[in-house]
Amino acid sequence: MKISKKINKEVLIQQIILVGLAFFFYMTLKSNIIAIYLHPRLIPLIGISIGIFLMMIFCLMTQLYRNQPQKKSHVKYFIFVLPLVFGFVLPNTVTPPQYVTPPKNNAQEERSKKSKIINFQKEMVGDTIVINDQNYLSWVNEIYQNTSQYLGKKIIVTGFVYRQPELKEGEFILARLLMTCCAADVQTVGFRCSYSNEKNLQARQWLKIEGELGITKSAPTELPLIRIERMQLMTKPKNEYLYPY
Amino acid sequence: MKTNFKNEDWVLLVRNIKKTVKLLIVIGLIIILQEPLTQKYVLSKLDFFNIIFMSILLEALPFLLIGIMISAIIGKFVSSEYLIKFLENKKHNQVWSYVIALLAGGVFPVCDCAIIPIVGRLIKKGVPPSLAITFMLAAPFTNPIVIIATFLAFPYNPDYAVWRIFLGLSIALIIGLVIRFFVKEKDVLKEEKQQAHHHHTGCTCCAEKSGKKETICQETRQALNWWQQSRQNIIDIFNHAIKEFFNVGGYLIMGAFFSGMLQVLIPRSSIMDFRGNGFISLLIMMATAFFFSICSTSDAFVAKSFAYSFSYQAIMGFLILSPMLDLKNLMILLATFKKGFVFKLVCLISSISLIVVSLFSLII
Repeated sequence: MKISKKINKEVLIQQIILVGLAFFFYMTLKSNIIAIYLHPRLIPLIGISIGIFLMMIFCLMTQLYRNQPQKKSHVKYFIFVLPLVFGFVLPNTVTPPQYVTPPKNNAQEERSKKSKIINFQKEMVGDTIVINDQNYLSWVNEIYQNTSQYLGKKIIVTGFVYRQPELKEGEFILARLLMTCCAADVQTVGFRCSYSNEKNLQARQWLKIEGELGITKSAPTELPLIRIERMQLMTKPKNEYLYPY
Repeated sequence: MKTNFKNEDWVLLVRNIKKTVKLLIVIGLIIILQEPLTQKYVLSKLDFFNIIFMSILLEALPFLLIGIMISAIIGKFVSSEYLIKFLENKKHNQVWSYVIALLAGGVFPVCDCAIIPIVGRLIKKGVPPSLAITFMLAAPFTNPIVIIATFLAFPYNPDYAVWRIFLGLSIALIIGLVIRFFVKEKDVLKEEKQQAHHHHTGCTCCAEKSGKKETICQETRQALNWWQQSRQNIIDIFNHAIKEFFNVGGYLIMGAFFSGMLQVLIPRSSIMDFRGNGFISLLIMMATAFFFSICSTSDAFVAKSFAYSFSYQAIMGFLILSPMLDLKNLMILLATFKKGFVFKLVCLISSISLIVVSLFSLII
């Protein structure tokens, strides 16, 4: 094995990439931006990866002066620059309009408060269905499955205004975002609502509504529909995601 | 000589043309981006793409790293002689080795992208490709997290989860058997570059390549005390992991990149245009599973969002194909296996799952 005074270029490039990735992971963790991308249950894995990266960097340090026998092209390392560019440069120039900008205080505490894991309990308060973050998904499942059982019942639910082209006049969807694993699988779930003054509502406005559960005939099937009786404007919650498990 | 000069002139000219074209494109883009409306549109698209790309990456990279570490540890501590001996013992009853390959995923609960480096390592250590591929395809279906997620996503139709396990395992077994009897190639793994290997210090993996080195290595090994030995072991493991990370990681990044692009270009609502009961809807659902590259632990919930518009059979196709094959996995497969083998594997997985799901819908 030849040891020279010259720095091995390939090892140096690998070092820089690993340091960049570790630093990027650390920054997303520290600033809690990670909450936009990932389910809280996966966040410890980011810590583990930082550990593995650090060990790799340490191991590469011992090889920095080892000679490289042949000249090789380092083009394949270019692809590793992509996540760093997208991770570091873009979030500063663009603030996501659709997603929450996370608070910058104690990340650990925030996270434990944030994880609203839904349990599958359905209870009615008197004759009214009161839906909160904890029972949201189970109620959505139940109401979509057994719509006829709940016809005419009072319902209280929060969400944001979401419109789809197939909706009728005066209708909108009171939606929530559901994250199972990461932001790539986020989907909108919610209830169809009818409201006479629908035109005045802005998209993505958060609302708390009270209404009566009915039914609407949409192309292939019948879907539940909430006829709104009262509504209250709300500010966007700190974390708008719901986590099914 | 003269022709040579001419050639170089041509090359120069072509290069210049390429340069001017690139320059024109950049200038054009800058002019277009001056328009505030397009600016807003591009930024919102870019923003959406960024979120998808980063989240797939942040979700898959830790799992890939863990898979690479396990693979490196297997490479260091499980000797190929032992592994082959173990499998040969079972040879009187080959059925058992396939049963183990099918169910091993339940004990070894790693995600579908972490499993590929591990499987590559097992094949390198002498496990027959048919068995290793069976293990690779079956692992996501027996993964407890995947099973629980499927039950939670369809609380009113538990049969989705049950059929998913049953059909998934049978497809894995069929593909394993097809590879065993019809795919004759011995070395399915991508060849490693020698130079890249040799710059590591006293790495014992070199011992596998030449017998002479082995004796030298072992002599030097014995001279080391326990502390030095374990330190050397850890350094060896990480050196292997680094090499594998820079091989596979790039492919993962590319997979996440393309997947993000596709999710931006093809909105989910446009998939709804193909809803219905026919064969086309099954194909569309399977294509969606491939291109969206959603982790097998969460794809059941995405499938649910289609369940109101697509048929039972189409949703089943999504649930079956998504853990076995998607864009992100295909990229990692290409980093580990030879191109020809990956091509055969992709053909096998897509055709057999299509046939099995179609047969299933005839029965149900």
